[in-house]
Amino acid sequence: MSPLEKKQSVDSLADQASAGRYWRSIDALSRTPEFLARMREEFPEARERDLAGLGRREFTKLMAASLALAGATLSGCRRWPDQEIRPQSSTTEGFLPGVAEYFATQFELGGIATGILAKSMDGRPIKVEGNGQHPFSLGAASVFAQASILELYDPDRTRGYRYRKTASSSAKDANIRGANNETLYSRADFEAAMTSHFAVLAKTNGRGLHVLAQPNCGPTFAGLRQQFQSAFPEARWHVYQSLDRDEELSGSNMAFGRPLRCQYHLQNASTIVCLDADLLGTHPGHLKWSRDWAATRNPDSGKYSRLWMYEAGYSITGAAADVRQVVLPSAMIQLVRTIAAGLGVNAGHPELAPAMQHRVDQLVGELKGSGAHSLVTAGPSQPSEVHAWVHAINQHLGSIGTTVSWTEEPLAENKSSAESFAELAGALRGGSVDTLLILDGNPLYDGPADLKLELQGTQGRSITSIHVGLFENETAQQCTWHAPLAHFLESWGDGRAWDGTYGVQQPLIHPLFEGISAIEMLSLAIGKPIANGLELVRATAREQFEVTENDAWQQLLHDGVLADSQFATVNVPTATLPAVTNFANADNSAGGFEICFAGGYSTQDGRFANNGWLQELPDPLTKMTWGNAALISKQDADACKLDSGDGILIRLSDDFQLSDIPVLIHPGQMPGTISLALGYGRTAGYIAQNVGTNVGAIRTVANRYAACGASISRTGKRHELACTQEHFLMDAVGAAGMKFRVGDPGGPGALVRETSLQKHRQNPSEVHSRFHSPKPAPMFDPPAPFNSPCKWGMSIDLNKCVGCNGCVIACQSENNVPIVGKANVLRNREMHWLRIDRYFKGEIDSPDVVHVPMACAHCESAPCEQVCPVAATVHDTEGLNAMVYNRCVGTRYCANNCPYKVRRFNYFDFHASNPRAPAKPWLGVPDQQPGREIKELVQMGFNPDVSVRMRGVMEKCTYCVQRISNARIQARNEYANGDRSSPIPLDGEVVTACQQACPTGAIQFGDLNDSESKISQSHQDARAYAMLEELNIRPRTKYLTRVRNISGETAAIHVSAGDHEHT
Amino acid sequence: MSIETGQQVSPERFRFPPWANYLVPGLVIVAIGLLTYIPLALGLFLSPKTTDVGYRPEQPVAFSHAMHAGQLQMDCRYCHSTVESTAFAAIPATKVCMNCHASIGADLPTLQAVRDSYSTGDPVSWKKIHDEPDFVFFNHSAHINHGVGCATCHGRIDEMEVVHQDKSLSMAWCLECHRNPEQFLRPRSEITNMQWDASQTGKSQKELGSQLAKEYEVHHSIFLTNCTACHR
Repeated sequence: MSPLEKKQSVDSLADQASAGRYWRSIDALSRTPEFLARMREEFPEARERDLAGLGRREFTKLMAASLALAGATLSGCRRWPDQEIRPQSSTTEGFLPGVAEYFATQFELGGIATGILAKSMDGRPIKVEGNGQHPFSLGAASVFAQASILELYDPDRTRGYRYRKTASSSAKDANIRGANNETLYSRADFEAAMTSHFAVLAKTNGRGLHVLAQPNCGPTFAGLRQQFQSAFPEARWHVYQSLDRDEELSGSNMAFGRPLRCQYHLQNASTIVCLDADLLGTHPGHLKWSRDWAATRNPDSGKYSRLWMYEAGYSITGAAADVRQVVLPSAMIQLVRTIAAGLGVNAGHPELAPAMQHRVDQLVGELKGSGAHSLVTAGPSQPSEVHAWVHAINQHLGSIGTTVSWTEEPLAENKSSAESFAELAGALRGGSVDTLLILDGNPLYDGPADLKLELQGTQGRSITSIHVGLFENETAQQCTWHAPLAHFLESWGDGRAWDGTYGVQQPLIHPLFEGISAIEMLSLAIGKPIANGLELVRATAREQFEVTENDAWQQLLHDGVLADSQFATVNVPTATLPAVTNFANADNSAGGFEICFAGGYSTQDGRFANNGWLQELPDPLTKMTWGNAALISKQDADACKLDSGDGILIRLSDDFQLSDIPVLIHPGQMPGTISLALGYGRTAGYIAQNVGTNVGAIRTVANRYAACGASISRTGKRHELACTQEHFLMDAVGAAGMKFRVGDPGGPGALVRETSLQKHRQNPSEVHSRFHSPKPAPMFDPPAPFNSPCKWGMSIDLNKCVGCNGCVIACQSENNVPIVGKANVLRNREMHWLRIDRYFKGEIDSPDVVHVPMACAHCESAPCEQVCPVAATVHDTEGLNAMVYNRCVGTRYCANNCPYKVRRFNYFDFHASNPRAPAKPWLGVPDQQPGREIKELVQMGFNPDVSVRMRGVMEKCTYCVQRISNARIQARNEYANGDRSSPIPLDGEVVTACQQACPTGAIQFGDLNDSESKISQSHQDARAYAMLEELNIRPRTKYLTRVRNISGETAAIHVSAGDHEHT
Repeated sequence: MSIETGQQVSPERFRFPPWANYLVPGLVIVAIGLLTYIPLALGLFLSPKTTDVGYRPEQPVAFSHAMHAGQLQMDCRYCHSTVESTAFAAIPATKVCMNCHASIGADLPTLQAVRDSYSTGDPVSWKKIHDEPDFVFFNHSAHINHGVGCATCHGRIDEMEVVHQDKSLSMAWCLECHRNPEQFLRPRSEITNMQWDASQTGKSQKELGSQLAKEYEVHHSIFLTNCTACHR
């Protein structure tokens, strides 16, 4: 079907879209033949045609081989291999074998530390959870922090200190003991080599010594950096990160004369305006902002905030916004000046398109009304002028101290990240570099496209480059030395949160691969006798934070944070308004597309690209896994006759072209813009390599976040995009049945219910009025006694869910959920027990988004149980729909009969298999047959409280039955010993993994028998509804209606800023 | 017709010789025999009672439960100290052994492995005997606190010179108790008593067990036979 025909079919259904229907994807909306074909497949994950190509002889051979294998496994008399028990040699206080211990530590990203609790089982860290005492975690944890468990046990991590003689290695290195072309050394040898190397440099005051580091907020690190600079006065220190905050800092510089950090107080805000600021998604403080924002979203209490979002491509915050408007990146400065003018901050402003102006007038009125309870924010991608204007607007509105305040910025450097990098690149090219120490990071991959670091040295001048990192990445491959970095769960460190709260990072496990931490490396370079990390950190705590007594130190380790250690609020002068000038980004006179660069929601700047959990985590908006794409609007795609999956060439100039990247048509994308996610297309790393496209190739220093004047052309290649948005469809027969019994599943309210604040306050149950919950006779007798002693239930507040994916990774980590690889995702075989459905609603170019987390709802009258021939899925007396792995024979009838499509089948032993394996020639699928053991290193990260499922077994959400069991046994033990009054776990004692990870508190779980419990109250809420209750399945998970804060006029109006045309 | 030559072939070639008739009853007898033997053999050979009961691996230290728990009457919980509070009944740390053996039998050659472990810090690698499948989550504390004695599942440990598995630990065996807990419960005070028998209390096991089940608020047998009671 050509794109044009497709467009017509879309048009013919346009009225459906505008009638408030919900749709999963453009294909689903327009019911393209491909989509209908997919729907007709009963088992899309096991296509018969794959086997049809198999001749009779091959089939017989395969079967014979399988039988032989089965026979081989029967050999051996005892039923399973001998196991050993290794008790400790000496007892550790408080250690109980098989009982989880929690340690407070920190996770640092981009120089901002966030508190976490790491769960350790018998000495192995197995899960990362939020630290409730940390002001920027509040008990929640980001996907990156949670997925770091997989990184810790990544078999791809560097082992040993690698030295490689290159043409440019300096003569000094020739003396290294036994140095061949490539040699692995122990840590002691590395330390000896470094000590002598840096001792030579110290004699020349460190001339020619350069350090390239990531932003680091650790006071210990900062102290060592000072010592380093006094030991090597002529050494140059560069700080670079790809997703820099340069513009944010220079904006504050422009307004206040110095770099300051914004502290938001969203809980006080009534009107929040985000100018491309992804406060709830990618901001370093997003966990706290999400919690604070959710606090203003209780429709039954007085205040209810309204969130405005201006952006070009959909972000997490954009999806949560009440009013979202698309703007060209270059038009943002005009927009912010218009808002400022409307508020009377300045006079005169540029002309806006009438529709846009109308919206801005409305916004200005609202901001005036909210006054001090307004908050305007701008994202790091915005030019410094926008930031300066935003500061001025906030000051003008009087919101200082109410919704925003400022503190010092500890990460501010004399030079911006980009300047610093350019200086290093220049020095390398100029041949003035003798030694380059790279402390973590991957500048050869994520550096600007127009500044390449020439590590090879020049004629006559050799460079010793030392890279310290977790993986031998693109940069490490080019370096003379590559030293394994100790993972943050293996080493001591410290850091400060976004608000400055001091916290300590403590190790849970001895370094697995002899790694060295960044502070130890610095200490080594200074030539100090090798102090271990603990001593360095403890000295900082003693000297800078007055943690002198042992008790206070123990308390600090226990809490993970030092109370009242945040930065002091800074009083700022009246913001200076930036000069009204045109600048590069605003100049779109060249026409063509505008490019927006953003960190990938799964990969950030590429540092997480080797993490399989993150690669397989569907993007919150595009639902794409294992790769990135050029996101374009439907309008542009039609104009260029492009379809999703078509390869395009993006050309910025002769030097900067992206040769081939697949297109993904993304509803809600600003026409005339292309959004590109960073962090893909790595060339090093077993999981990371060749996944997606490296868009950094056209990202230059001047255009780090936005570029204008791009042209595109079709390359003729087709790409397969592993999007999960159309997975787990009802098949055609099921859909027809559903339509007959429930009505149109895409119709308003059938699956997703939402209302406006106004309607909700008038009549909260009106949204349910079109539906009736039947009370027919139960289909079979429940086990007796039923719902005893507890009655477990869950509720998910659609109003608070922002779709951040935290729960998905939490579930994966808690329940030993494997990854399957791209080829299997393409066949609907992903194993996530909890998925987040993303529905669009409304117009194709400016739809609203609703996120619906979907996991097993533990139906009381469960359709899956009725079709299982071996009773492998049955109810227990507390109302859990139990899945009995050891009984399951793999008929998959249950998954077929599940109306929510939440059951997952293990087609292979995915844990033992290789997600990047090459395809089997005769099946075209990866070689993932079992026969190999799960790697011991990988096993270390498993949760021993949950079965590791094998091939041929169905699985699904268990409501974290292991947590329920543990809480129950704990309660009953205490009850038996007279330590508590009830043998039943109290409300809040059973917390599911997803509930725990949720930054907004959208998920509640508990005992419905207890009428006082939060879950009971939540189920009785007027907004609560059971999805598909018309099917008489009585699900235990209820959803709370989403309430949008839209007045009649703001509803469903989406306009774009600036008239735009491109060629 | 022969395919190659096209000539007529005598049908006699395809006829079985007369003595083959005697094979038929023989084959029937063999078939019946195999059909009985194979399931029977599989059932018996592969039963946990055959494969698991009596499993008695050689341990790195010749530790005698008969001496410690039997002769010396040491309480099980001196070494298996976590049994009342956690899922695992901890195998004692080397230090626990050395509490006594630093002075008693300090030179015994059989204790060399223990002394080595104590001085080097390396653990003693004991062979696991009572080994449930990985999809079964047994919790010692839940049983101990509700009146299931050690000997009920582990047998007369106090009489074992070398510990072996005494019960099959199969699911059917577990369910014997989960269906009728009153037949196996004892007072909590007698948990580690190896010789305890209901008759010592003057009551029948059934009578005492029912009374204890009520007193300890043991779950209903329907709850105890939930899949989720043991499988997660």
